[in-house]
Amino acid sequence: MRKRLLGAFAGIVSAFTASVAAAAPIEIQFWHPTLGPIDDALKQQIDSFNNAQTAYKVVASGRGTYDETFNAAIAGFRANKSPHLLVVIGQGTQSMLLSGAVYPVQDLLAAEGYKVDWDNYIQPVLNYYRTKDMKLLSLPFSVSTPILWYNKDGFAKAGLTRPPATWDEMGEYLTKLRAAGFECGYTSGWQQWVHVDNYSTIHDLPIATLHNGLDGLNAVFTYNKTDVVKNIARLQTWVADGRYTYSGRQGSSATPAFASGRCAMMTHSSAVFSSLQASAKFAFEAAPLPYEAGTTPHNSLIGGGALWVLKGHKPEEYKGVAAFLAHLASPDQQAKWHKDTGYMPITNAAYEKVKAEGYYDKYPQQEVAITQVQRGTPTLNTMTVRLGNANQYVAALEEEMEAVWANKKTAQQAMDDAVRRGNEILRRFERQRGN
Amino acid sequence: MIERTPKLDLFCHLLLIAGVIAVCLPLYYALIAATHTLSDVLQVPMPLTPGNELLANLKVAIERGDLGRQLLNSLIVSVGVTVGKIAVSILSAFAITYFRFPFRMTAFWLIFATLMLPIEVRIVPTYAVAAHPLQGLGWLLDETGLRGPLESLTGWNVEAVVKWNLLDSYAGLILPLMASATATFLFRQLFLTIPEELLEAAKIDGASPMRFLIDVLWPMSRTNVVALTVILFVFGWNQYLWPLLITTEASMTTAVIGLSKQISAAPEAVPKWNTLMASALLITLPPVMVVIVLQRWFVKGLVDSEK
Amino acid sequence: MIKRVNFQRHKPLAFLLLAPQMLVLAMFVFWPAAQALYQAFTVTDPFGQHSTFVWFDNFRDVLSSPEYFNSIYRTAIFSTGTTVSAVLAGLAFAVLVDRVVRAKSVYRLMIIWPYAVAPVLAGVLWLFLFHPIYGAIALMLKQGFGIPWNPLLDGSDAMLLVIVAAAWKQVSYNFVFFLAALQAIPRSLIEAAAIDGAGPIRRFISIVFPLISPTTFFLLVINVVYAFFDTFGIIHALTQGGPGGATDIMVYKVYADGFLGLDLGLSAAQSVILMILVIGLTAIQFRFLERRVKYAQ
Repeated sequence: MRKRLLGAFAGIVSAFTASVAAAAPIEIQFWHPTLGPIDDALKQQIDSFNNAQTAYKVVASGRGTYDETFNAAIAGFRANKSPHLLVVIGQGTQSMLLSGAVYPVQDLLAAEGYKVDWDNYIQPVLNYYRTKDMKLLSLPFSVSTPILWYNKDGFAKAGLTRPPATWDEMGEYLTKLRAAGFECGYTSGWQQWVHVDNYSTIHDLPIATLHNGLDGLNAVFTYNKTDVVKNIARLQTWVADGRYTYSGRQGSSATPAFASGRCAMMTHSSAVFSSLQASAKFAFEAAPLPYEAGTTPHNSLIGGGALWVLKGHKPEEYKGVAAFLAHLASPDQQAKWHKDTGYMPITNAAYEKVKAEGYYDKYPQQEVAITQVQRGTPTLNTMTVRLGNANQYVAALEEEMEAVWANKKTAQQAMDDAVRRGNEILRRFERQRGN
Repeated sequence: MIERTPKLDLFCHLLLIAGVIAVCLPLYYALIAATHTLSDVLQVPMPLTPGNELLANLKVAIERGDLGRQLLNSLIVSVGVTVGKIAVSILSAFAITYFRFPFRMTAFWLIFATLMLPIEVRIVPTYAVAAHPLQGLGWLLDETGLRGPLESLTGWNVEAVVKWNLLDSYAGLILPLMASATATFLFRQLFLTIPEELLEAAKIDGASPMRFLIDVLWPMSRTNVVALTVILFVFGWNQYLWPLLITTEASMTTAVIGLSKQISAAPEAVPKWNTLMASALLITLPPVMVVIVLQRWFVKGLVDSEK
Repeated sequence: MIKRVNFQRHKPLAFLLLAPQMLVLAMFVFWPAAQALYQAFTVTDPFGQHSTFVWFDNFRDVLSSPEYFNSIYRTAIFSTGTTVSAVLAGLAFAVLVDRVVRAKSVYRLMIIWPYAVAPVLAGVLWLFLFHPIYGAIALMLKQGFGIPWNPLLDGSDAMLLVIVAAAWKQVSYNFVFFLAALQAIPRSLIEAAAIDGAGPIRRFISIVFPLISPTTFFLLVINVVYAFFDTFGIIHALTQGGPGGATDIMVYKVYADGFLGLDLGLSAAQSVILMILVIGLTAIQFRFLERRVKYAQ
C-alpha cells in the first residue's frame, strides 16, 4: 500500500516537474560584441522574437570588442560552455570556417526544414560567407562596407558641389578644402580595409593568390606587387602636406574627428550613419569610394559581423536557433534593423520594402552602400577574403602602414615587409590546423 | 625644521601644489566631461569649468549601464577576495612560521613561486578549470567504472555533480583571484618579527596553537590586516581580464568591466564620453574612499611589514 | 626561516591550516600554469581541435623574429622610464611633504588617491587628455605651444604617454613608502649634522639618502616587476602596442599573440621567456644592488 502511494506520488511529482520543464523556454545563448548605441536596436530585435513565442528565449550577452568576444567563445568552447550563436567579424571567416566548431547555417536551416529562397538575398553579401561550392556558412548580421562620407556644408564653403569620383579628383578637392579652412582634409577608419582590401577588390586586383585564399590554405599575399603600393605612396604624400590625417588603427577616432567638423571627408563603414546622425551638427552625405581614373570600378567587400552557429548543442536547442535566424531574416526585421542601425539589409525583399516607403529619398546615404556592393560584375577576386589568423596579419599590415605615415619606410618597403610577415602568419595558420 | 628657511618652505609648497595639480589633472578633466552634454564635450576645445549636467549624466549612466547591479557585484567580489585571502593567508603563514612539519620548506617555496605566475600568463587553462573543476573526478569515475554503481547505490545525480562549474558565479569570480602569495608573505614577515617570548609564555600557560593565534597573533596583525584590506579591496574591485572571461550574464558583470565594454564598443560609434566619465567617477569612488578612510593604517601596515 | 620557539607536536593541525591555500593554489595556479607551460611546446589551433607537440619550435620562432627583439627593447625603455620617474617623483613628493609643516594630510590625500584607480581606467583617463584629435591637453600642446604632439604616429610620443600614465599610478605607492621611511629617521641624526654646519641638501645626500636605501632598493624591485607585468591595462587602453610597435612591451605582446592573434603556443612560449627574464632581473637586483644598501645598525 505504502509502495503504491509512493509510486503515485512520484508519478505526480515527475509529471509536475516535466510540465514545469516543458513550460520553461529553452534558452539560446547569443554572444555579440558591444555595439554601443546599436545594442538598443539589437535588444529590440531579440525582444520581438522572445515575445512572439514561448518555446525559446534568446539571451544576448555583450562581450566587449570583436576580439574579446571571439576569445570568450574560444575559452567557452574549450570548456564545453560555448554559446549557440556568435557574432564574428568578417575577416575572421577563415578562422571560423576551419575551427571545426561550426554548424553551417545553410545546413542548419535545411535540417530544420526551412525553405529559404537564397536568391532573394543580396548576393555579394552572401558570397562573402560562402564556400567555393556556394554553401552559406554564416548569416550576415551587421553588414557594412566602407564608403566616403563628406561634410556637405564644408564642401559648399570650398565651392564643391558633388563628391569626388576618382582619387585624383579627391586629391584636388582636399587641397581646396584645406584652403577653405579645414584643419584636416581626410581621415579614415579601418585603414587596411579601405586602402588595401577594398582598394584591391574595387579594381579587381587580387590581395593574395588562390583567389584570396578561397581555393586553398597555401595562399600567399600579393598586394605588394599591385597598385596598392601606388595608393599607399600617394597617401604618404597626403600625410606630408596635411591632406590626410591618420586616426589610429581601427579608426575609432575617425568618427569623432569627422562628426566634430574637423575633418571634411572620411572613408569609414557605412554603419557610422547612426552615430553621425546622433552627433554631427552639419549636413553630411555619402558617396561610393573613389577609384582610379580610367578604370571601371567593381564591387566593394562587405564586412562587419556575421552570425555563426556553434556545434555541441542539443537538437531541440538548434530548432530554436533556426527559428531565431528565420525571424531575423524576415523583411520586417531586416527593414527595421537597417533603418535603426545603418547596417545594410541582407535581402532584396527588405531593400525593396524600405525603398517603397520612400526612405532613401529622405536618407540617400543609406543606399550608397547597397549600390556599391552590387556594382559591376563580381569575379572570384572580388568575392571574399578567405585568409586565416586575420587579426595577426591585419595588425602587422597596420603597423607597416604606420611606418609609412611616419616616413620611416617607403610604401614599397612597408608593403614588402607586411607581405613577408603576413605570409609567415598564414603558414603558421596552416601548421595550427595540423598540416 | 632645523633652520628657518621661509623661502625654501614657500618653494616646497609651490612645488607640491604644482605636483598635486599634475596628479589630479585626469580627475579634474573627468569631472568636467561628466558634467556637460556630449556635444559640449566633443567641442574643440573642451570647456575648462564644470557644467551642471552631472546628475543627468549619472542618471543615464546608472540606468543604461545597470550600474546598481554591477556595483553590487564589484562589492561582493572585492569583499570576498579580501576576506577570503586574508583568512586563508593568515592560516598558512601561521602554519609555515610556527610549525615544524615535513615539506614545510616545499610549501613555502611553492607559495613563493606563485608570485611569478600572474593570471595573464595562465588565463585560458584557469578558465578551463573553473568551467569544469571536477573533470578529473568524472574521468576517474569513468576509468574505474565506478560511476554506474555509485549512482544506483546512492541515487545521487553524479552527472550533475561532475558537471558543476564556477562560471557566472561569485565563487568563480572570487576563488581564482584569492590564489596568490602576497598576503601570506606579509603575514610571514610580520610573524617573524614577533618576539619568541610571547610564544614561550603562551606555551607555559598551556595554550593551544589556535588559542595563540587568536589571542596573541591576531591582535598584533591588525595593522597588517587593514593594509591588506585596502590593497585587496582595490585589487578585487579593479580586476579586468579574469571577470571578462568568467562572466557571461549581464547580471554578473562587475562595474569596471561594464564600463570598459562601453568604452571599447565598436569603432563606428562615438563613445558617449560624458556619461562614461560620470560612470568612471562613480565606479572609482568606492576604492578611493577605502584608501582615503584607511590611509593611516594602510601606510603603517605596508611599511612595517616591508622590513 | 622558522621561529625558534614553535609547535612540534601539532603537525596535523599545520597541514589543516595550510590546506585551504594549497588547494586554491593547486587548482587555480599550479595546474593551469603547468598546462600553459605545456602549451608553450605545442602548436595548437584556437579551438583546441588539433594540437601538435613541437619541442622548442615556438621558442625558436619567437627568438628569431625581429618583432620580438623590438619588444624586448621597448620593454627595457618602458620599464626604465616608468621606474625611474615613478621612484623619483615618489621620493620628491615624500621629501616635500615631510618638510612642510602645514597641510601635510591634505597633500598626502591628493597624492595617494591614484592608487585606487583601475589600470584600464587610468589608461582611458590619460587617453581622454592626450588624444591627438580630441584630447584637451593635446590641443593645448599643439595650439598653445606649437609642439607637434601625435602619439598615433610618433613612437616617442606614444612611449612618453604610456610612461607618464604608468608612472602616475605608481607614484602613490612609492610616496607612501618613502614618506614612512623619511619619518622613521631619528631627528637626533639630522640635528647633529645641522649643528655641524650641513645645509639641507648636504644632509640629504650624506644622511637621509643612505638611510632610506633599503626602501629605495625594495621599491626599485617592486617598480620593475610592476612595469613588466601590471601595465598591460594601460598599454591596452592607450596605444595597443603601437604605433608601429613602439609601445609593444613584452607582456602586451603575450596578450596580443595569445588573445588577438589566437596563437596560444607562441603566447605561452613568450610568457615563459618573460617569467625567466623577471626572475633573472630580480635576482640581479638582489645580488648587485643589495650590497650597497645600508641596513639599520
